[in-house]
Amino acid sequence: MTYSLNEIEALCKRAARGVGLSWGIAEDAAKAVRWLASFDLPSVAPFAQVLALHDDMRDADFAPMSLTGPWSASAGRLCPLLSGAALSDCAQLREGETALVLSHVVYPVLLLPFAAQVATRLQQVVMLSWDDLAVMSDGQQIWLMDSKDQCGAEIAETVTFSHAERPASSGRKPQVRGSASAAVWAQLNDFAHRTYAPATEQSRLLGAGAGNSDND
Amino acid sequence: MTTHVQTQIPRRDPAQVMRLARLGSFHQSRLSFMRILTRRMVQENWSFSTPVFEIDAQGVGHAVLCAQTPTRVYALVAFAHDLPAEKRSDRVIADAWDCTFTLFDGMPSGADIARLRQNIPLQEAGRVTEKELSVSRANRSVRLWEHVVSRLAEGRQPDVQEIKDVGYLMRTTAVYGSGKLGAADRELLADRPEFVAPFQVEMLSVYLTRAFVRDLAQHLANLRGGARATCLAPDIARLLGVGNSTGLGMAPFLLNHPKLFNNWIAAREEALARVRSLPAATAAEVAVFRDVLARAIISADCWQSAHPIQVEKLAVLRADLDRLKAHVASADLSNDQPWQRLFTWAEQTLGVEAQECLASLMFEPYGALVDPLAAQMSDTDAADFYIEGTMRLDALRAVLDRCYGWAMDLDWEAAPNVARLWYVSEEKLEPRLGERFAEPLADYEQPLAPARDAVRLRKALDAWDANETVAAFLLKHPEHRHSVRRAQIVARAPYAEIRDNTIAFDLLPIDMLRCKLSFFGATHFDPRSDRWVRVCLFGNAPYPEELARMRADDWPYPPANGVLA
Repeated sequence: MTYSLNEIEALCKRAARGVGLSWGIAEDAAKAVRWLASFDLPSVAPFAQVLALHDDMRDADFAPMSLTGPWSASAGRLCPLLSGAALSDCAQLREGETALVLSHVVYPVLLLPFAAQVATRLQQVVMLSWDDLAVMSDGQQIWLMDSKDQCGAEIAETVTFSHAERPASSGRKPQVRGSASAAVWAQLNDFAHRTYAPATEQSRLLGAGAGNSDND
Repeated sequence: MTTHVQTQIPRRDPAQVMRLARLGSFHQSRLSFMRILTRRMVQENWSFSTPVFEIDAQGVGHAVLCAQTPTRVYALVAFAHDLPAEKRSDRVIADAWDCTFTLFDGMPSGADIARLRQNIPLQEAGRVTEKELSVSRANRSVRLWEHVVSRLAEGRQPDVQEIKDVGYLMRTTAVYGSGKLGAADRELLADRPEFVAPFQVEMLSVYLTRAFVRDLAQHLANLRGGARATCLAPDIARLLGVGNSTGLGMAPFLLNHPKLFNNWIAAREEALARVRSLPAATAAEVAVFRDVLARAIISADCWQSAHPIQVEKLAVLRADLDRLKAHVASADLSNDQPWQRLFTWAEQTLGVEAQECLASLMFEPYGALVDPLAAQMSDTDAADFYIEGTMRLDALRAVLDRCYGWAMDLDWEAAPNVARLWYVSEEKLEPRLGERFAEPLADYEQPLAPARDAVRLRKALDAWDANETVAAFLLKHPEHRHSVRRAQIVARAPYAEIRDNTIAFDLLPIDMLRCKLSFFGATHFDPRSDRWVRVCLFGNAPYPEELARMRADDWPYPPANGVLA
């Protein structure tokens, strides 16, 4: 089923909050999934998988321990959302360096929107590579140097972020809708549901402030 | 293109403007989204038609109303239903309505109508596609609908006093756009000139809804009265707007879109600064001002509310407008920065409500100065969302102290200052306001207390070296990421943040609702509690077939010699 990009962003933000991520990270993560979904790459599904991992882990164990040197997490695996947000924050710091290495990144495709954000800000084509795959973006389009299947890898031992030359060919452009399977959408709704307060008769009356008749 | 206009009088200080009591006293103006739309319709000579109107004597069927721009067609597809009285509710938890609508991008085919008939009447329970730009619904005014239909069926005009008392035949209870329920994302439409200004899709939908509702009442009167039925007099029809009930669902919007909110306020403040800076005014400009002032007084006189807060505000407004009228009768408005002198007099003499009303009135003679600012009221800069991680923490501290200084001295441990919290209810996924110490809601709190959270952030920074970067801080403190983003936006956009406590025990959410609705162009705000408000949209506006002839953009002010005078 296809969804508007705003629907995808809105649900992803609530779902991220539902598994305990901070509101700020949830906002960046939702924006990232929206961007990825518009390119018809694996997006909503790997996002749901990452949220499921967060459900069982402390965020701090899943985030880069430090912003210097190769990035790695204390628990062994790096979250692409927490790493991605840090990568986006560091955009200017990376200027002049040749590459950044991230170790054991879960669903590395989710790093791509954050890397693309860096590209937009630096007005510089950037490249993410893992396994036999390389993907480039200038923020507005992407160039994928491998099949879509590999792009959805569950984990990459090493992900390298670097600057790149602009390819001669034109890249893939974003679409106006995103798609998600019913099962993944339901899983995200389950996570999002945790952010909703159960209704009581008291909240029904007081919370929305009706009480007096609206039918006149 | 941005025109640079010399202003000697600066924009007002955010510390003065961004208080809820003032924001909750705003009035419609030339920069209201309804007026931006109707100006464009006139300038571009849009044409309108109703190619389909298939509705039976029970009021069941559908209609298609089209707006033709120079390059495109938009169609309001309206479904009319036979709603049992006991099902009529404006609450978002309702599941049936008198009429349901969608604004369609282009001319719908028979297959489109069939698809929409399966979905639009269901509203939130249905799905739409990127061909649909909005989804909305409306309920009849029980008081006025039968009065108008039966009078017309009997061959008589409705009673003007009855119309004044209610103001609308139907009220919308939600107008969804921007990708909701699967509709087209705003970004998809952003390059169409007619949708550059905020909420133009929603305003167009409501404008066409108003015409449909009038036509439906006439149609049913004709079917009921046969040869005896008469046509609704245009002067009376024009009094009718579309009612709108707005609850807490809308309140967090201003907090959730800080840059957009800044752009609305900044445009209005720039307009005010431009007019106040004018060295002189011509006799014609002063005449326009006196005319709209007289008509604003008529409008205030027929503005009704039973809510104690609004009753009090209205009494003060009416008295203040009388003082303003007396002052203007003798004041020299021609030379020596006349508008600056008048506004300063008002700030020293009148209440906040009348000051803000005056600001809107002062824009009226100056379309050329004010109207181009409409182009700056959208939020088109996606980059504002992203955090500047290289910012040093001493710079972040300075921003917080400058923009949230007023909140630093507030006791955020004291119960009255944190008495409320915003949450989303499981039942309808709508924002609500709860009592922190009376209901078990703390785990569900939404990030809608920016002042409290900025103070928390400021305190957390005390433990960090001033030379560290925001990126390093946020890696260890992701819980402050939301507040850092806001602070960086507010640093660039001075009117982005409400400078009041949005979780205080005495918060009036209606102030937030009225502020937003005033930018829509709503009039006659009628709070029904501290957290929902009734308004009228497009009251006094020309109908589609009248636009080209009437042209005037000042329709929110009732005519000086009209039926209301």
